[in-house]
Order: sequence, then structure tokens, then C-alpha cells
Amino acid sequence: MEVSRPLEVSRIEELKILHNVRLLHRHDLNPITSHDNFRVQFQLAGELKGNITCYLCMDEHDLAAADKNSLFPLFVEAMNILIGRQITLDEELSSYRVSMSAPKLNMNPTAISTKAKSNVHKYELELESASFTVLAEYGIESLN
Amino acid sequence: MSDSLRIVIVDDSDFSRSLISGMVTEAGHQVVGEAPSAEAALAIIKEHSPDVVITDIVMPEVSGIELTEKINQSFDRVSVIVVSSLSQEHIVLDAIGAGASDFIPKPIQQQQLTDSLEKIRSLREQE
Repeated sequence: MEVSRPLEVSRIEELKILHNVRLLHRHDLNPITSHDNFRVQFQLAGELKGNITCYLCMDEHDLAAADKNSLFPLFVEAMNILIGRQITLDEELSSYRVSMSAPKLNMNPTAISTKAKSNVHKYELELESASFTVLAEYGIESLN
Repeated sequence: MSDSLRIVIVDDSDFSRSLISGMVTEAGHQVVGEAPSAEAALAIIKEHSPDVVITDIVMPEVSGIELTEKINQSFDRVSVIVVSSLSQEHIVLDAIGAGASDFIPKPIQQQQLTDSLEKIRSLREQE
């Protein structure tokens, strides 16, 4: 009988996405609540199952539609790279045979809070001109 | 640039294709086509007979690994470079087993892509 168990995912302190774009882990302990965000979800299949939902928080930003249209693909690619690196570099996770789905995008804002949630990692997506809070919510488990 | 390689880029992300396209041009090679899916890529490869296909693994419907197998079966002179953010050992081995010439983890470094293309170009010169 297969038994599933939830998995912790290692935090990545810094990831260079492009020469002028970085993703930095946020160390603040204060909870964050976002009501205005875009999100992208990646599903995992194989020996790891579940999904990872990433939120690009726009609460403190007032971007024109054209800026949002150029920012969102960068965010999606950054999250693809983050999750791929996390699974590849983690000592335990890297041993599992796993496949990742194409990203599922959702432009409708939803409320997300990190309060009392240990499975949400906080990051900062740093561009040359601005910086955006990113929340990554992990719901994955292994079958063994 | 008679010795530049003719390259097709396959990735379902417009952003990623654009990024790779810029790197290919920076390396001195020519992008002859871009495709958002394996199916579209096969049509472009048939039409343009490129030297190299650079493909992501994660795509809807047909993966980059399956595309690599199809290219290997149907097109003798096309080399494949597989790129992916997931780069565990078994994935790299799957890509090479499917016939890829090289595997480059994302985020792609310019030098790594340039070196990989140069290796393919040199091998073709020796043939």
C-alpha cells in the first residue's frame, strides 16, 4: 500500500534569473497578506505529487496594463526556474522521478496570507526598476 | 557568417523563446524558426531543415524529450539541445538517451549555450 507524506522544500537564498533580474529569499517573520495578485500553478506528477502555486503580489504597485503584460511572463519563467532548481538541488527531492506540468495561469486576484502557514516561502523578485513580493505555496508529497 | 548554425527554438513560453533567440544571435548563429509546441516544431523543421533544435522539456501535450526522439528518428542531420529548469540526473539521462547532443539547465548561461553550439559546429566541420 502506498503511503504519502508531505514534504518540505528547501529555500533558495538567491537565484539569478537574468543578468538584471534576481529572486531573493525574504527573511522577515511578519505575515504577509495579499489581495491583489496574479498566480501561476505547476503540478507535479510521478514519485512526487501535488502542486505549487506562486503569487506575484501587486498590492503595493500600480502598473499599467502594458507593464503587467511584460512582467507576468518573466514572473512565470522565474517561478519555473525556481521550482526546477529547488527540486534538482534538494538532496532528498532530487532522487525522485518527477515531471512538472506546463504552468497554469490565473489573472484573477485571490486573497493569500502567510499567517500560520509554514508551507509558504516568501521571495522578492528584483528587477532593475522595481521589486515585487512573491509567495510560493507548496503542497507536495512523496509516495513511498 | 557561412559557418553559423541555423537554429529552431521550441518552448511554449514566448518569453523564454525570445530569451534563447537573443542568446543564439549573440553566439553568432541564425534563428530560422520558433515554435510553441512539438507539433509546430516538426512542421518548421521539415520546412527549414535546421542544423540545431533547442527545445524545452515541459510543454503541453508532447514533451521536449518525445520531440527529441521524433527528430532523431526522422531527421538525420538535426542536432538537439534540451533545456530545462528540472535537471535531475535521470532527466539529463532521458534527454541524452532520446538522442540529445547536450542538456543545458535553466537559467541558461550565455557561455554554456555558446560552447554547446560551438561543439556541434566543430563536429559538423569534421564530418
